[in-house]
Amino acid sequence: MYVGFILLLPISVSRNYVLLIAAFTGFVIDIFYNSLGTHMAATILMAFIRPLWINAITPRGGYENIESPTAKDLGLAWFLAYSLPLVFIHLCLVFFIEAGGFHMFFFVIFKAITSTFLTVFVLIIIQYLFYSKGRFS
Amino acid sequence: MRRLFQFIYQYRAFFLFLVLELVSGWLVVNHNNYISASYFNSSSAIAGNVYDSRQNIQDYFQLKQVNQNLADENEQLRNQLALKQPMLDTSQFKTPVYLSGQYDYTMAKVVNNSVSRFRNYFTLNKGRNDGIEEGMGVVNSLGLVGKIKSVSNNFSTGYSALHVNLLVSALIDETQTLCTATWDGTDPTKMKLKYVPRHVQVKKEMDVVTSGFNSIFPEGVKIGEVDTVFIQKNATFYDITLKVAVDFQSLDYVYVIGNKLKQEKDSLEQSIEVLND
Repeated sequence: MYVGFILLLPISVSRNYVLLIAAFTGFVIDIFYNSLGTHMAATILMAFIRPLWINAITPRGGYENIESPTAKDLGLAWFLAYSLPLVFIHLCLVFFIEAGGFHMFFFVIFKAITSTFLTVFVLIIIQYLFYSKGRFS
Repeated sequence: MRRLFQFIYQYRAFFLFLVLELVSGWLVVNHNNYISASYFNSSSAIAGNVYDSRQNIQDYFQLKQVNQNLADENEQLRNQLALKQPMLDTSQFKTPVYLSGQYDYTMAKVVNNSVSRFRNYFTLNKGRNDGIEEGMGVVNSLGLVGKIKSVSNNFSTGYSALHVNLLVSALIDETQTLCTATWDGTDPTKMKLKYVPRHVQVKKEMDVVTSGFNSIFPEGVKIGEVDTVFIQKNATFYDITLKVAVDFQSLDYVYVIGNKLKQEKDSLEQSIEVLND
């Protein structure tokens, strides 16, 4: 769920800062989960891929006046295309590091897929509940 | 040299990414070696207090269930006491070691627990100030819960029995077969029993308990019941699934077991190993 914090960071924030923010977020999560390094590694990877992925799915000409990649600003379909792969990569890395190898490959992939759908679902609900339209203007 | 720096500066995001990933990879690999470093896990003061206050709120919704469990346990203990009474009167009776205080029990409350990950941990609201140390066993009234991993002054973190790397020395109660119980990372109500040789007659619903060989748990703490038994044609050992005795999804109060004779036993066993060399 906390990956939403990284996903919804404004696009204008520089890549280096996003990486550092992601590292710190993952580290704090790891302290509470007793899994030092696991969530940190996954969140950093996701923060690194994020700008590349945004560029890949941005239509030519870019966006006008978009600060944050939210479902409300850019549409539900765009947000799904944006968040599903990123969250899936993140969760795959978390679960594979936790499992300590590839010996439970299909179980881990299954777990990652179901968790991805749940996470993205909750992220969308949170956006419609708490993000007012004029908030970032 | 200048071009090198230019190159690094140009791709600084990628290099920062590499450095951070290396740091976190190093943390993952080395995390389990720093058993006593309790600053960066949930037994640290900040994380412990957060979990503690969250648990305080949740407690109100579990009061009925906790009361019921405690009443059941009281009844069980009273029944045991009633059985022991006549034995205590005889002058020949020797107090068994586990009654004369080899083990002491400290009650603690579970303030955080998980079952959905591959490596599950729990956090207890008691720590070094209450006499809890690394490596102690944790049980509740139903059976085996786990083992303490690291301790701070007021909190402690433990490996749940649902941790893929935790192996528990076990005994099939009826046949007295020594084996190993472990978790495969899938179903939180099931564990696996390993190294049961094929000549043993294993049946469904046999009790599996701790062996007491590793001086963490006393002998006879229940782990679970045999659920499914399967053996391949040419295999040496059975594939056995256990139904876990403890309901890990609703842990509330647990006992941390201290073994006063652990040091004595370990040093004795070590001296034998030296003699064998």
